[in-house]
Amino acid sequence: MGEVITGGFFAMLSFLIGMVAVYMFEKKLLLSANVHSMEKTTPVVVRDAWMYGTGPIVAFIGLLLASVVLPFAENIGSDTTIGIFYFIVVMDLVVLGIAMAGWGANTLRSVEACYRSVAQLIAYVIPLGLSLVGVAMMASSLSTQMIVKAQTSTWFVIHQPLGFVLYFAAGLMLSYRNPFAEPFSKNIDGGITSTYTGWQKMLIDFILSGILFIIAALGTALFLGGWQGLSLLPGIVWFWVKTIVVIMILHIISNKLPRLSVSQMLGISWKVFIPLGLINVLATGVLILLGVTPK
Amino acid sequence: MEMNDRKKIKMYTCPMHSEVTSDKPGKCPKCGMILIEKQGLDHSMHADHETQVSAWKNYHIGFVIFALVFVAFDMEMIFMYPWAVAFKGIGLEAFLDMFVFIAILSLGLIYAWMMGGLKWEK
Repeated sequence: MGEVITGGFFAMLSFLIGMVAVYMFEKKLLLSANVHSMEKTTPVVVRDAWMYGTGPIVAFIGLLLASVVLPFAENIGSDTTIGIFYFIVVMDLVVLGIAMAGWGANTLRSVEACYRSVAQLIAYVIPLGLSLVGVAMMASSLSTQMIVKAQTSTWFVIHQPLGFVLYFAAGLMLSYRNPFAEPFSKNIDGGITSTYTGWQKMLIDFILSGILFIIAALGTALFLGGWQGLSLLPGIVWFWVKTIVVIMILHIISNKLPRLSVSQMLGISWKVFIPLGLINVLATGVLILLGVTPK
Repeated sequence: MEMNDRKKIKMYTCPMHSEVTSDKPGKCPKCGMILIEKQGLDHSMHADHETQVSAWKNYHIGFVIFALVFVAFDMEMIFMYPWAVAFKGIGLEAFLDMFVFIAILSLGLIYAWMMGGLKWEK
């Protein structure tokens, strides 16, 4: 029990450093998903003080809870048996927080952003979950530490190419990056960010950077061997290097793609990603039955 | 959703003569300059600055069917996790069980698709 708590604490600390680093990096290169609104919106109607005030905090707590299972190194990152399943469940708190912030602010744009973020949830959860099922089958475990240890000989990106692509496509939806950036798009003036100022606005910026970091970090752990690498560097350095490379590649890809509307996003998710995810689960089953597994 | 439904009206005006407006780009009849797009005409985008309406009202939500199918698939996903962890130990039997399960759910998805459920705009 003690190890689970200290491991989780250090993972959370590492995540916070990563989140701030991604935030600075995106600020420098103007890559943030957040559109900064030009005009101040004045409150014209009554807000729901509880939802408006707690929305960003709920989202941030969801991110912190999810970061506990990130396996930064062998002893960092909580070794719970529900690992990746726990991750999917707590990440929904982030969407809940953003939806609460949008609804509570009670302006036309922010309520629109609330609906768009809920539609985004309906689009991303199932492709993300199905891509993780394939990994769980290969590793016979849901614990992130065990999944990294199962990749000692080969990384799962070789056994799970389809799951790898699906994971990062769903990750772009989850992190509100370019092809799927409608909840924060310019035509609704940045969505919920148009109603916040000061520390709350900064918290939302941190959340947006933090989701991208957490997606890249978990993708590294599940598909790219996590902290495993050549022994001349310690594990945590390998993990960070891989995560940063993944973040850069995600940025390059996201800037190349055209922006999709909400209906196009839902269509692509349900007509392409989810059937592919189901095929991925069955294909992984066939691979395991044929004996094509790591080790 | 309400904001998406409204057509954006583009108006063009002369940078020198503000009384000259046109609904298509061209040249100003007074001075021959190229007309530029007029800003600030899209009232739906600025509605919350000017009016005192509350945004908590009835919206047309396009993703009702998506949401219902989503619940079914979300439950399916939860069942898959324990199955995935135990898969290597059980082998072929587990694979066939899941094959039937996925086949039934795929039929549901295909049915929703054929009936036009996976459409945002009706």
